Amino acid sequence: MKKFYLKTTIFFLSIFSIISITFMLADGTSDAFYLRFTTPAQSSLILGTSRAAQAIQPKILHKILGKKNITNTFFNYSFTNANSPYGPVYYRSILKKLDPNTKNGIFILAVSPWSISSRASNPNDSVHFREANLFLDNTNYVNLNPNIFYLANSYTSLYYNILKNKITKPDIILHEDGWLEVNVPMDSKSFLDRLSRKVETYETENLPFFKYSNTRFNYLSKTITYLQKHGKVFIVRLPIHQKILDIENKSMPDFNSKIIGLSIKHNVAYLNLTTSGKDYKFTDGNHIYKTSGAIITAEIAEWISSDISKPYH
Amino acid sequence: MSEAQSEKSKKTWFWLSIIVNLGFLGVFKYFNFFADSFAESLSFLGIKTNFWTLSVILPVGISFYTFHGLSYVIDIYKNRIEPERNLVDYSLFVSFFPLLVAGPIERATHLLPQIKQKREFNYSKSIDGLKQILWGLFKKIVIADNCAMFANSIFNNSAEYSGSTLVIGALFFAFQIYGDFSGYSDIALGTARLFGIDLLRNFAFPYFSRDIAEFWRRWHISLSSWFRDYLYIPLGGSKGGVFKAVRNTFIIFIVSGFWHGANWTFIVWGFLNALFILPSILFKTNRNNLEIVAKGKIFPTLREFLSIAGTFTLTVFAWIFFRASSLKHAYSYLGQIFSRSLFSFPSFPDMDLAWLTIKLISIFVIIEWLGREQQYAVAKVGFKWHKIPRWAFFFMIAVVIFLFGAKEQQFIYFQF
Repeated sequence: MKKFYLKTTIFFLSIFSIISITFMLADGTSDAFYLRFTTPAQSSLILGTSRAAQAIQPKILHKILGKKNITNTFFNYSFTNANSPYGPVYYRSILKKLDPNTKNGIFILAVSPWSISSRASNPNDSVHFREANLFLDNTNYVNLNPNIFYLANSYTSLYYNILKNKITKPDIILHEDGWLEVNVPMDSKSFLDRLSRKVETYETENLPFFKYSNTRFNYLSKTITYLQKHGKVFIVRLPIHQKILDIENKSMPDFNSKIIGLSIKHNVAYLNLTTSGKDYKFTDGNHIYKTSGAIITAEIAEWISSDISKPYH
Repeated sequence: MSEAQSEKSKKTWFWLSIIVNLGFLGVFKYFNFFADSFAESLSFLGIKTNFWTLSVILPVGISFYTFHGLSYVIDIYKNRIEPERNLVDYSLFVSFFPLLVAGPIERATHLLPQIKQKREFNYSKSIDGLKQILWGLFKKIVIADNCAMFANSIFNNSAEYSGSTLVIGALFFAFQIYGDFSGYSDIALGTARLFGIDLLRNFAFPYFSRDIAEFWRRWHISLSSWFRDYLYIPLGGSKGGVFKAVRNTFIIFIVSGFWHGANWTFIVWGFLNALFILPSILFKTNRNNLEIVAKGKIFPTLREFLSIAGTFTLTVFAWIFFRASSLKHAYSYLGQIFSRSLFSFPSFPDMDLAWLTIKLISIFVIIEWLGREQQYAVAKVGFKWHKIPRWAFFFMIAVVIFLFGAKEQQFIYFQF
């Protein structure tokens, strides 16, 4: 029996070492989320859904704000429309990701009608929110490297892809600062194909079912209140293609007035970039392409620096 | 029952026991089916009814342990075994954990003596058990779970796919159910072997069968043999002429389909298998292929290969009914297959993963073919090798399970 125990122990330890090595090799090529759960707790966060994940580039914020002696290190902690609309799940996760000792943090909160809406029959029933039991809800440890809990419970791809993607370099790369770089063909035909699919999805799957959620709105307010204890909050609505904007306006015509009301209530600045009229490049109408993302990030950085340098601060 | 003073009293106790055992199964598994079917028949005649149905969760593995219990009672009634007087031993027989939820369906004559016997640790038996568990995990996690992603997506959205894609979907399901169920059986057999207990073999490379009769000697063996011994033979088996043999065959296949679940899809699946086996009964060729195919050879003959391909095609055809959510779904699935889109190139949401899965299935089929003369495919791999390459082989299987294992899916047979 001793021989049996010895041999099986060696066998299982060898397997365990392969698992450990694979997990240690996981990085920004592994999937679009993993790396965000591997850094230490952060002091300045970019929050929102995939629009913010792909558009707001911390490196550019740091570069521009650094020139104005604002030296915060930003971290993009935005996920997807399914995982990180404002609500109890995202709120709890933000609390874990934010360094509790933060004093002068800067927090950029990207908002959209979808991030304060629910698909549930009762839009205020948080038990049935769409993010319940998805990976953000299931990931209790968000500052662990390697994050074995995420890899074991929420990594949906085959583990083989952790190794393969390191060699082949996928189209989607998550950077260490949390920015999600998406590389897709940007010729007009490819773009129009993606746009029409996205518009169809929003018209058929979102517009008829999503309803404004007072619970979500209250959680957005609660998130702002919490973050204000640790620094300064900025709310931004990112630009989208006109066709998607039309759908959003149909879905929630008073969205801007709701957010303006919230910004007044909390005394935070709100920047609505959907009305800037600039010709940004989109990957699918919903997400900004990285080159335009860099421009928008620079605009946000300028806006933040001008707001911070206002005399009443 | 064994202490009954008269034959009449013995019979009474026997039937009481059968009714109690089947009663649980009937209430939990079939009550709603019969109530709904009866209500539907009445509404067809213009009579509207509102039958009371049960809203209970089906106890996991009820079909399996009910059949354990039934075999015990029947064997005592037929004086094949003595009744077990030790409650602990009997409870262990009925609820031995490796086979509790999805079999193999054990016989009291086989398992009870092993439970009562003193068992000691056996190194080679334990290593063999671990190897079978490892191979079972490979079948389940790598083959079945990867196939499940495509089979589920294709069957659940069959109207959106071309005929050629639906054919691939049915093939994926064929490998899913084989990997899933035979994988579970391997894990159960391997686990039991670690405890010094040999369970009944449940699968013997069924997809290499040359006719349907051989397939049913190799697929879910513990259930097939259960029906043979406790239903087919008591009904008269093949004695008493061709008509009786055909009738009894249809009865056991339809009951076998019904055993899987209270759904017409399972009944049609059973009926189809009876239909497929019919020619071999009529022409008395059902016991033609008792030997392992191409025994001692690497390749089968062309005739053997064509027989295997033909049998596999019939099996996959029947699996469509087994997997479909309803008969209507099965018919529309088949209708879509036999359309012009059958000749288009199949397409999936994740083609890269689909190709990878097809490659994994191909490797799996080759290993199974090479190991088809063993109890399980890798049982004798490396017996004549140096221990380093032998261990490396099994280590590689474990690494493949980790790297290529798909998202966890529940075992299909847990629902039965």
